[in-house]
Amino acid sequence: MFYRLRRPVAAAVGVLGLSWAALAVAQLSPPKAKPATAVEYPAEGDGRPVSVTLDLVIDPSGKVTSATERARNPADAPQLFVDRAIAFAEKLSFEPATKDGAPIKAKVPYTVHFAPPVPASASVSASVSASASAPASASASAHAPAPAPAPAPAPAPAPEPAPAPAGSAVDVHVAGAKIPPPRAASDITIDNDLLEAAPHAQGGDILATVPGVYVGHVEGDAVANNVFLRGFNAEHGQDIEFRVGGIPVNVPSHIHGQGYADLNFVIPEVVRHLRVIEGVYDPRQGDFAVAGSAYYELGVLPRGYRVKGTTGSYGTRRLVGIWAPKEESEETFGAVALRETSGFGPNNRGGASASGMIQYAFELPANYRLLLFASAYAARSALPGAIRLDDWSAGRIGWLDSYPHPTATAQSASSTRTQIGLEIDRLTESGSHLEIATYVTFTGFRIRQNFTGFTLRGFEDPTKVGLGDLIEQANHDTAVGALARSRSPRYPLSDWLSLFVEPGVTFRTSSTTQTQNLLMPPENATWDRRVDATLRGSDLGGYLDLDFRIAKRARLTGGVRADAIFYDIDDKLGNYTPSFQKSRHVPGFRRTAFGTAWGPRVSLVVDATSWLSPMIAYGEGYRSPQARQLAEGESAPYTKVRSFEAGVRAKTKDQRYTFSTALYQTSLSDDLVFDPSDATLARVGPTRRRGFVAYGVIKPWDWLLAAASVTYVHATLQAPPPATAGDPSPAYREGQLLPYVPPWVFRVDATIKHPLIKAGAQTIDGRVGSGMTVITARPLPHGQFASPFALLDLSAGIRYRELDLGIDVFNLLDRRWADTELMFRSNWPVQGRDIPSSLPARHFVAGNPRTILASLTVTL
Amino acid sequence: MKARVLLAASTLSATLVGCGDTGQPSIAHPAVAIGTAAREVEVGDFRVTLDVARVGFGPATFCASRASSDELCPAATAELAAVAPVDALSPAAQPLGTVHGFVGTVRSAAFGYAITWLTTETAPRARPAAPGGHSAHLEGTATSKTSGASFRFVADVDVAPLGRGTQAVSVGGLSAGIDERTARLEVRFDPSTWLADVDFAELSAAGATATITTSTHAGNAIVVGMTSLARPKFVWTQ
Repeated sequence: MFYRLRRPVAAAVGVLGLSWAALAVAQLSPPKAKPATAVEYPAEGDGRPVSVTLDLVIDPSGKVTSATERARNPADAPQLFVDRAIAFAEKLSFEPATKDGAPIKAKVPYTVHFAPPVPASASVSASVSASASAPASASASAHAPAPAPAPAPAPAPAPEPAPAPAGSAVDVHVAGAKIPPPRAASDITIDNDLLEAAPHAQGGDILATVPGVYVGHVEGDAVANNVFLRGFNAEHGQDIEFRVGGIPVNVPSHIHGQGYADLNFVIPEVVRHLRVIEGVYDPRQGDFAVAGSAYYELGVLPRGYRVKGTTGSYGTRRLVGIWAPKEESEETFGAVALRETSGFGPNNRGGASASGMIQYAFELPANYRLLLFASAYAARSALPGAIRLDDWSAGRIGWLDSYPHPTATAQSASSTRTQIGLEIDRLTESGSHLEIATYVTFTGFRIRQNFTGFTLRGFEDPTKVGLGDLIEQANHDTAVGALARSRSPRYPLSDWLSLFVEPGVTFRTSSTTQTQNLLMPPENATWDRRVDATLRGSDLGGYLDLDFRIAKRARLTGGVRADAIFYDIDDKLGNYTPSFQKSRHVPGFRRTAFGTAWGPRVSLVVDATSWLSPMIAYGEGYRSPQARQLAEGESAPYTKVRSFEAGVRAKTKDQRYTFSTALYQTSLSDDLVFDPSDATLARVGPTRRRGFVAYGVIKPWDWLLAAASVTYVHATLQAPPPATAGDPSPAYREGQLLPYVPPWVFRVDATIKHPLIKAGAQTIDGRVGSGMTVITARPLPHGQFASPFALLDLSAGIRYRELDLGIDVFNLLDRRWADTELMFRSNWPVQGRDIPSSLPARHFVAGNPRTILASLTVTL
Repeated sequence: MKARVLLAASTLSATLVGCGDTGQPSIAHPAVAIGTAAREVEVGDFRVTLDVARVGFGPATFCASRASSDELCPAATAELAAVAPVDALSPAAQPLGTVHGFVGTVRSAAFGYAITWLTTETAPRARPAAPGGHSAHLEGTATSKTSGASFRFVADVDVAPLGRGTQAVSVGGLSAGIDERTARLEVRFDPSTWLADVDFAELSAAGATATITTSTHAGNAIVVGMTSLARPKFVWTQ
């Protein structure tokens, strides 16, 4: 929505050629189109608007039984558009024409308009509105008498790239796919049907369907997932730019991790597309696009009112309500989700959450369109903490346990997020597209966790030690942002060369308060203060994106992006004087910093044949620094990202088989690794990832859809880590692996949907889906390797009329696996260990055992 | 068994990673204590002969930082997480336990003399390996070079950490690389030098046998010798 990165939006505007005359005949009623799915502007298109008028035969059940070409405009439009229009129309569903109330077969003209690509476009959404460019008569088959004339409806709210052919009377504005053409082979968009193949408990879990991604739940339901993407341990979002409905999710300078992005507020049922750019090749990609970007597009299909209740293992209960009126576009919906669970393990993972999301699309006069989005979310959960592997191996503690100390059992997390966004866009008659969007977000976060047991010493009073390392972090952020972009119409430069131009500007300004304390449970008395700061930041970015179409065979895109970032830091505990020293000044360290970053991004896509497209891309991105690390007047040192990729995409003509593969390299000037000792990120120096990714999607029959991917990475440290007082000359050797990065990630998603039996006039439909992730051994610090694991999730269900009964099974094979493994020093007093170790040791957080959830969905 | 399975699985999986690793692999080697045969020392007017010098040693941590404070050394490079009794008058190698750690450079150390004060303890505690429940037990004879008079002395001293969560002794200025080739750590003691600041003239007034405890002047002098003036030396051999 806001960040209409939709590329060549296929603004498919169907003109349902109904005979309005028929409406005047009381006993005749024309077919009415139901809300439709998106249709894309073909990547092979040359950028011109194209209209294809079809003759549709609609049977009494509302199903399209025949679609044939009647006309195309322009006349030399490639056959591909006709094929695409027919394929699209055959999937349409109608309320059948009726005669005296009885459904009848009907034949109607229907026009699909393909609007030129509008990468940044905000809309052309799924709206269904009655309009007509001209009254016309519908042709009816022998089974459907011609309707009588009817008054012409209101003008079409959406632009018509080409005049509607005679005979059309009702415009059916079909959802415009907001999916830009890929910038690289691993620029991937996953549709809702694949996202739904395997069960996903929360919004962040959807990412697991993306090649090279592993989604962890290390810190429970109320904390952002740990995400790995193509060789990056993105932790809670430091290396991935997340947007939901166009609104940025990453929180800069978050105390729990730079770029913290909690996606749990997303209700999985309202995600219609997920686009992931693995790498940095699009000038629209902003802060934190290091490993890449992930954009959630929201919408609800099928339309209707839906209530879904779920219950199952570990006291898990979930209730979802979705409001998606059939007369509205697929972007218009309201949804709420309530979830609670006791969690697996001995009462140390319980949690509850509530999320509400509202989105409404308005069609306005003069081709303006407005989209309003709002959401609210709150969650709280208990945390089990990490367990020493040697303690578990020695039988000193159970796999799912927490240490039996109050400082361990008091671990918990809570988070809130509220956001409101407004977007307005306009697709002009000339084909240019203007978009302006703005948003406000409020996020709250509080976590209490103890990784290290009893090791920390008081900063304010160093005699305080052994009180438990229960670190409390709190972060409250208010942000206002906006973006504006304008996509030009196609400029023909020659017979074989044309150009689209898109300048854009973004800004985000925020105010953040953050604290970090050490607590003593159960009263949560503060025994030491570590951070008390207020941060004000402003990020102003601009870009220019050029899109050359070369001889209808190649597409050269790219441009430059520049960002300026300003920080005002009020570090209230800066210059703090410990109690044992004589105070000479008032605590506090106020400072400001300013920095800039810029870089080119370019990609070349060549349609070598109708089915094979080699692609090559290069881009430079950045990650902003944690503000509290900056000194007065420092030129805010961005982490520079250089990303390169070369690959190919292949697909069959009917697109039932698609495949892509790419070799890639990503280099960072200064990388970060999680440091559990104070639950923050530590600098490790320059790094490089090299590897390949392969991804294939097949749909041999309408009832089978499957996707598989394999991603390999060789992630290395390119120079010794920065020297510190703790280690003046860190050990380093060439080719040293980065810790925590899984070298191989395999993923398979598959779903089968098929009618099972006939039950009267209806059928009982069955479905089964699965998702499997395989993670090979992750390197850990000090030459260690984490245990590999494979997880299989399964989903199955049957549907009869309005009822859907389903079952989701997570970790079907009930594998014992560690969601994460870390190396750090801890001191947890347990029987059998007399003297605590001062060495870093392996710790783990257990993953979920087999979890079975049953659900009942009622859709009206 | 579980650990073995994990190790096997990790090794198998590591082969999928390739030949690389994250560096600084773990190492382990024995630690031994080596005393000295030199039992005699001259302290002022007295010729002192040690007959017994039993010491409790450990635990010990070795850091990459130049000082071993909590702040500079939140995690050690190597450690000896054990306490063992040592006959400091025996030049034979006496096992102290196993040093576990990682490849790296040791620049500082912190250790205890069998008395620990862990972060989770409210007071210092003598470990079972502490001789007689003390850090050191020394016995010997002091003979005046002037008068020829001699007397026995028996010392039981405690070297306790000064604060909770700290070690009794910190040592800086080390520079030792440890890796897979490191054969062992030798902790070399010379207990006679601990007596360098003891006022034997004062002790001689006590009679035939002088008893030295930590709270006495002599006991304090021995503690200073053990912690500052004549600390054990750490030598890694290959």
